[in-house]
Amino acid sequence: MRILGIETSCDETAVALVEGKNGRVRELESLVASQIDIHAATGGVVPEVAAREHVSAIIPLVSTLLGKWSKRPNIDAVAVTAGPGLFSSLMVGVETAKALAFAWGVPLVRVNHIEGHLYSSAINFDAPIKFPALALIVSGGHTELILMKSHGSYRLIGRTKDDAAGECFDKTAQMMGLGYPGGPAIAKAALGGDPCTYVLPRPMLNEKNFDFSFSGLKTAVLYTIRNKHLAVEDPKIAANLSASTQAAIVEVLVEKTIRAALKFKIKTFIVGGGVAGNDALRAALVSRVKNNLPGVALRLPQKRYSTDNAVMIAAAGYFHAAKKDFISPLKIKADPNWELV
Amino acid sequence: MKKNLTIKSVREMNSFAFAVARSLKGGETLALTGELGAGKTAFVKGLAKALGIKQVVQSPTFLLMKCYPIGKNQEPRINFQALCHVDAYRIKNGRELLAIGLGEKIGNPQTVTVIEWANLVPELIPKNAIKIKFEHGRNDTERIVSINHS
Repeated sequence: MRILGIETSCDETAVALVEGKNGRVRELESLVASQIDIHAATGGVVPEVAAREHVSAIIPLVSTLLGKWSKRPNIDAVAVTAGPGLFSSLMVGVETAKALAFAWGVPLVRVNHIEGHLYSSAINFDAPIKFPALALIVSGGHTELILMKSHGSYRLIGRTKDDAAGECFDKTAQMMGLGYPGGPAIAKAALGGDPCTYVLPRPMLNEKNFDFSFSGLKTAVLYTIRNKHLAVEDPKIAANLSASTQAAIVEVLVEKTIRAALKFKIKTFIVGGGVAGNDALRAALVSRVKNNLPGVALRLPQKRYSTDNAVMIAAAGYFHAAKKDFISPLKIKADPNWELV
Repeated sequence: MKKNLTIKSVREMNSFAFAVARSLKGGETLALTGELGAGKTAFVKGLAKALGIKQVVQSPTFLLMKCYPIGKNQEPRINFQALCHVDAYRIKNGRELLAIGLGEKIGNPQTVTVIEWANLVPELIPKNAIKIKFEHGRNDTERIVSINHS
């Protein structure tokens, strides 16, 4: 089955085509707005695409994507992020998907953005997911632990009470003057640093729930810099503070997730979201799953599918389409508060 | 009206937020400024609680804007329907927030809009906005809050 995926929930406008067969999904092609020359594609009519002005980017993007084949490929369904996100952004994708599905006479699938992240680890992956699965979805905007009993059956186990883990990376990177995006900047600086240099809290680590909190850690890093008068422009100090900060974030994420994995006796462990690209987190998970969860399959997405993209939306769309879980173009609505669980 | 407060705990922040909530009639804009960790989101959490909002208020830094329905059957009665929580931390130009629909929220009598990092988008802040500034205090748990309402 060929599924066209559209993602416009927040910052990025993205489209993708995937091929799904027998429970396996592979990417055929994908594009994000920041990659293509919108100026050229709109014939110079649109001088510049500001962030989140999806309405200018979406049609040129779909045209460019489909134009990569000499004859427009057969598409079996259109999948679109209907939420959560920003209403005006989501609407662009939803209305476009509606129109395409209607015009082409193909079914339409509504996908939840978080569900998309969940399926990012199914892309270009041979083995089907064994259930129950536990998913840690961790990005700039989200930090959630979701139990997946089967395709389409989800239960929220825990989430952040304040800041997302990716946001914590970004803000602490800013405090250290390390630039944006903060996650990769901290990860790079941390390579040369000692994670034991500064004592930072592991918020909510010992609470008997699976929720997270990162705003206290953010503030602790600020106070460490302030109270110890740290010269963060010194690369050695930045390296040590980055390593200490990263270690705190990774420890909290890993500990709580492993605990949840043991409690729910899972068979597959999925990670998704921008922070899933963090090497320290990946390494810690590989090691802990090997030691504490023998027999559990750890699925880390390819890094290109960790940040927001349409391939994961198309992938999720495939699994819905396989069960004929469609929605009428007349009924689909953008829902900025759509909770997956 | 201008007022300075020293806040020493989460409970005191919630009391302050509660007092602000009680004064709201609908249509107000709260412009919050202050450095990372100074208490802006903590204040909004308190405000949401005072307005009977049941959902957990998370940081909207990445999402940019999130609106919450006011709790029903509040005592005393609240005359507006939604709290709109905006974060300009990632914004380079106020137009970006207008592009996501903020223009319809600001001044709307059915909504109270609270904007964190309001100093980054001065062009969007109405003249009669309630300005609240948050600063770190002398020790790690203390915050200094100043509220300015013309």
